[in-house]
Amino acid sequence: MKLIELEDNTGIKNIHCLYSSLGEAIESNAEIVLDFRNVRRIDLAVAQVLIAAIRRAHGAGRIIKLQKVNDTIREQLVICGILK
Amino acid sequence: MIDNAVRDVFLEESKELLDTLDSDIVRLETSPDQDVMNRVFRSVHTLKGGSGIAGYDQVYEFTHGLENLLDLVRKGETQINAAMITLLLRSLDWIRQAVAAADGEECDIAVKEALQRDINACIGEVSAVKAGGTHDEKPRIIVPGKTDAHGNRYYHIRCAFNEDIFLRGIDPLMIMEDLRRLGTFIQRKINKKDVPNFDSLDPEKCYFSWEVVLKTEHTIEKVYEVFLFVHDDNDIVIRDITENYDPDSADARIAEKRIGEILLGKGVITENELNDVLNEQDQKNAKLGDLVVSKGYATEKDVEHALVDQEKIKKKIETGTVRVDTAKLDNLLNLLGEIVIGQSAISRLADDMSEEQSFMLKNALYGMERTTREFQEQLMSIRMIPIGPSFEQFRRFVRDVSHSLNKEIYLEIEGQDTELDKTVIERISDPLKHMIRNAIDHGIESPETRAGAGKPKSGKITLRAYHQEGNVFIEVSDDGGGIDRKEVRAKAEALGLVKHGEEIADAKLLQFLFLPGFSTTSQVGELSGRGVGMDVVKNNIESLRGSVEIETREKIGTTFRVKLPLTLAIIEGMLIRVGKSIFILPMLSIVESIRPRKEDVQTVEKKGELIRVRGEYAPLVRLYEIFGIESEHHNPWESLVVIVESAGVRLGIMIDELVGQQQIVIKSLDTAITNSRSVSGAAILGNGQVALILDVHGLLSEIMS
Repeated sequence: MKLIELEDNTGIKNIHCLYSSLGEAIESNAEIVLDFRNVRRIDLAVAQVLIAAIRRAHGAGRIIKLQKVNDTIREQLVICGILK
Repeated sequence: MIDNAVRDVFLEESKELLDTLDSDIVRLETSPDQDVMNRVFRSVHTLKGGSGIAGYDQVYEFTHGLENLLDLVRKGETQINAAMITLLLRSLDWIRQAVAAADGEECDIAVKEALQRDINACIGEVSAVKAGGTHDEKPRIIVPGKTDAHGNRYYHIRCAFNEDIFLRGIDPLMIMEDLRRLGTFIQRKINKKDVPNFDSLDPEKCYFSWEVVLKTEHTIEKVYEVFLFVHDDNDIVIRDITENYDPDSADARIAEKRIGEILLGKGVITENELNDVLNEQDQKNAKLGDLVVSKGYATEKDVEHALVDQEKIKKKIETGTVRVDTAKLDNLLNLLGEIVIGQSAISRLADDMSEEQSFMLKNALYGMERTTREFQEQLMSIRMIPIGPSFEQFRRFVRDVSHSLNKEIYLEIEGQDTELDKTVIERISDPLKHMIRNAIDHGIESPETRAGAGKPKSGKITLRAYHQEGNVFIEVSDDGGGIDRKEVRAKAEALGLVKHGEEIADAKLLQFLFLPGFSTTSQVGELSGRGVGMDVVKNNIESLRGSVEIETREKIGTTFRVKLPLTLAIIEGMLIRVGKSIFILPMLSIVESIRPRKEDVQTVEKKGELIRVRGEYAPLVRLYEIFGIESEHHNPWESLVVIVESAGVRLGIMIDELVGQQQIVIKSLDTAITNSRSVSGAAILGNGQVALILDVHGLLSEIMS
């Protein structure tokens, strides 16, 4: 399992870090889990990277699990169409 | 790295925002205006967003409080006053300091905390008044739109954001969350398909857009407020659809409404007609444009125009502006200069070829020169910026300085759209500041003196810019007491610059004010009067190939008029030959060239040689004498005379030959090479020869003196 723990300040400022981590995780064949326990909210840059990553993982027949998502982020993911 | 890129963008943007805020806040003091107030609020909000993104947490926190206070003013819940203006301006100073502070360095926390206390006190006062209900509340006029039976309104909102919106410190997701808090998204279409595949994704770009139907109790005004900071620059369309909202069919129609919206917006079709065709479209699966034409609601031309408009909207999203480092523009200009020199060299080589080859090569060069000229014009137009923002920064300066001297002075700005090379604007700022400071300190009288002289208590300084004869003129005028010529003369006599009883022209007398150490003020003030500064002002202006003159009228006021070239880099020049030397005259200075008759040349005692041109006499200059060089001709009637003009004064320059006209890339000369005011620079010609560029204004000044 490849666990990626997001930092509290994950956003446009350090979006390349998340992008690289996800890129590496997708390359490996491990299960990908994104842990949001430290994150209060995300921005659209993060949401876009998630959408592209989920799409890519899905194409490879794999899924990305999101865990410890708080209500704020859940609502944000719904607005972005990532969660129903 | 994103951090550095974001930080750089914020640093540049914050400087512009703070300058604009300075000027807008001072403007609010004299003329409270809702548009200016909204702009101030937006600027502070943008500062807040940018500082948060760039990691300036203290600025973020501070601007948050400031924004709250401004929001109360904006909503009319409190009124702006002089104390609040001062508080706002001091807050800007702190933000400026905090932004400028090096990484990790703490800025003055005590100042910040004191300001925050004052801001909170202002906010607290408003809240207390509101709670007590004792203030003179101005009811805001809101025209409520129609609602359904349950008091709900329905808005169709389409929002597509620019690609670079993240770098501007704005998070569209936050906006959508704010929108969501107003009610419920009962229809939602998220255009995720524009988000590229993972490998080709640029995480710093925004690809998202939404189309939603919002069910809410709020008015459309409230919905617009959510998009306040992005409405102008992004594709945001909000439409009240309460009357025609049909929950069953809305979703399917969202994507197709664009053309319909455009036609509706232009008044070509009515709302009912739009709904009619949308319903039919659902049944027939036809294009909306075809349907409105077939039903006779619009002509084919209307639809074509709407399609063009739609395309424009798309382009507006796709294009935008790019920030470019000015050093890159300078490099481009230098490279272009080298191309121009290269072209001249090729042109010279062509002269040595056979007639046929020379003709062919010069023909090809002609086309290339045309492109180069166009390239140069485009490049120069990029460098040209309006002088307005530079003028605006002086509003704050005038307020601060005049307050410190207990004077009431307001700044009037004219010609803010006048465009000038960015470098010139940057370098003229300090001299202008000095002239304004002088006008405040020495020019404009105290309120009591003014009242005694029957003038309004408030003085006025006018900053004016305009184009004339290929130059830019900037004037700093005041309506003060004017310069006392007797005092200037007395000082000049004391310094031995002019003899007692000697006649001296007014313009020349006033030019003494630009000499080092020359001050007529008996009191040395904190601001001016030390005789240091005006000489620096003049030197700075002359280093820009400009000039400055003074016009003054007793009791009426004084005007400093600065003349500047549009650009510092390239001029259109006329190559002239004297003996074996080549000189360059700026084309803008040339009036005509003549071969004078012997009887038109006269020598007048104390005035030197004069030449009569069309009934008027102008001084005649022999360049070979000034520069100590050889000349083919020594009699003016055997040579050519070029008539040039500067500041309305004409001058005849004796030369051997007019070589030709060409673009000249100016290379500056070290003062060690020449201190002559007659020379403004040099240029490298196609054959590698160096030619001096003559400064007609300087030439005239040297002759007159």
